[in-house]
Amino acid sequence: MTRFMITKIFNNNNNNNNHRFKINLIIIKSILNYRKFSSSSINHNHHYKKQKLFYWGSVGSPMNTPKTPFETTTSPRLLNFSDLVKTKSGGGGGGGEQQLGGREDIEVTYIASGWAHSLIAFKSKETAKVFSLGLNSSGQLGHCTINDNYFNHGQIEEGLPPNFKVHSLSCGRLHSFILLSKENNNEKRDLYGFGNTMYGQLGIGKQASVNDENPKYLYFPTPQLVDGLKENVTQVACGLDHTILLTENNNLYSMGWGSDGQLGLGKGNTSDRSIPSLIPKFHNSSVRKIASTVDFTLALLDNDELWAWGNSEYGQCMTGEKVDKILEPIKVPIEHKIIDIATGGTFSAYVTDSGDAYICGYGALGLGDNVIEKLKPTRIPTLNNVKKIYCGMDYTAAISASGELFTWGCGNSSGRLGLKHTGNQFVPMKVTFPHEVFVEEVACGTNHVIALCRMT
Amino acid sequence: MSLLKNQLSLALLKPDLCANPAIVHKLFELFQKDQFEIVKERKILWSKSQAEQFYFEHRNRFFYERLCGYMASGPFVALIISKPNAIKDWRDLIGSTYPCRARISAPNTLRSLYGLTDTRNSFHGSDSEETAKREIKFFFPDFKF
Repeated sequence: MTRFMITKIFNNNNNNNNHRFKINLIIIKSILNYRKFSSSSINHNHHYKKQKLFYWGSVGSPMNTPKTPFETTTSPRLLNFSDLVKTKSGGGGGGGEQQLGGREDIEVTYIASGWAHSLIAFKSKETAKVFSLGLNSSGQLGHCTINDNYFNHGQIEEGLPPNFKVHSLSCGRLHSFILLSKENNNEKRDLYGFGNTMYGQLGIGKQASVNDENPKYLYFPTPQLVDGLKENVTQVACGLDHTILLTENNNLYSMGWGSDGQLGLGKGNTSDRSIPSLIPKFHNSSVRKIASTVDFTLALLDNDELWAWGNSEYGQCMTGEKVDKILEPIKVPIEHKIIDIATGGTFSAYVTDSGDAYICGYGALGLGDNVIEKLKPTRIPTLNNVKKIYCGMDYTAAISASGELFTWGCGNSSGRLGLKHTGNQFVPMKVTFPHEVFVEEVACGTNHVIALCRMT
Repeated sequence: MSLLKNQLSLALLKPDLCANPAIVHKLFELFQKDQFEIVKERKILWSKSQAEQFYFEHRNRFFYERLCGYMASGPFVALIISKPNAIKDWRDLIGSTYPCRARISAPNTLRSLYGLTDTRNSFHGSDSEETAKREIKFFFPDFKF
């Protein structure tokens, strides 16, 4: 009886808080300057007048009840700030700008996308606000409730301190994090998690019981303080079902699903963890950036070393071979000086200081339709002057120094490439926006993208 | 014209898929469109040890731990589906075992469209009448064939 699924699936495998959000008129004088450590932070180029958010792919639900303002689209569409605000009737629009504090004062500071949801942080003169949109089956929107039958959107209000400043956002498959500091204590970072924690990915000491006769589905729709750490978190990277944290003392912690080595805790330590668990120190240099999207993680160090761990069945950890799972961080043999890194599902990508983009693993890699596998990082010949790189599970996006956005990968019928088609794209192609824009940042979800741009 | 006899198959909509009710809704529309009759339907949530019992004979395989973890990650749906050639038709719809490869080689199959990773591959379909019978008995012990 037990054979049936295995033989089919693997037949080729040898190998609460109740703080109401109150608008406080205290003006936050300090501007967001905490950018060094976060890939999702936004550079504030003030020669560009106005920020605009665009979205494409499948952001909204095919079951638009109540109607959401976010429809499936294959090319960039303006995301009105006011559309994010939930009205009493559940639909979008109406009075949004007022709730956001008046458009001229609003600044988008962080964006993040997961499997089917996104978070967007705004800063106004008064305080920061975080909005969320998309799938809410596990409370991943942080709205204190779940929605079983439709996608939702709106502001995250309860569970967060009354006034705060956002320092990072991150979304996994069904879980989310907001890293913030309270308005009166800018030195201390607080990490709030919400959504699913069946694997312990929220790090709040809760995970599914192994032996429960009547198992329960575990989720927290109201933001929960992750209080197991005695040091400030500086970066958060969510995989689909795990979380990696970097702290001010240069320590790395992990929690959530560990069976493919996602947690990097070493041999024999593949069980799930529900509290932040220290990854044994492998690094002699400070960590500049961590990236995780699916089941493996990259860590870029200040001494230019690149380290990887987790699933590498497609060679995505860049070690030159396919390995089922890498249980402890391993140094990637790379000579380049790397300025940005990104993790897909079956591939990884990086950008060098000379603006070249490299990719390694399996998929629509951007190297033409005759190259779907590379076990060593390979330069994408059609791209130059690249500044930033991002990966969704099966696709990649690169921003050039001049603010152009290029995408490639599997389209998966979702329109997530933003290229006016839903098929696969084997060579990078420029995304066309309805306005002249400078693309500053994108957040690549599994089937949708949010882009933060400035009008030129 | 002879009447084709209906065939039974077990289908699973696995936990990753069931975490998005919109996709489940789409699949039920697809069952209807492709004239699969849903004979029985059951929503199940396994603990990890229940999943381990089910997959016991694979306890030494490298994928055992993650397969059990995946199948215990949330509710999933077991279905008995019926139509002429139900087994082959359903398996043709779901496609290759590996969603990541299917997105390159068979982009219109269900695993390509909705599967996430090679572990989180979202679907199961019985591979023969004999297997279907065994699987149906496991998930629906009271079912009368």
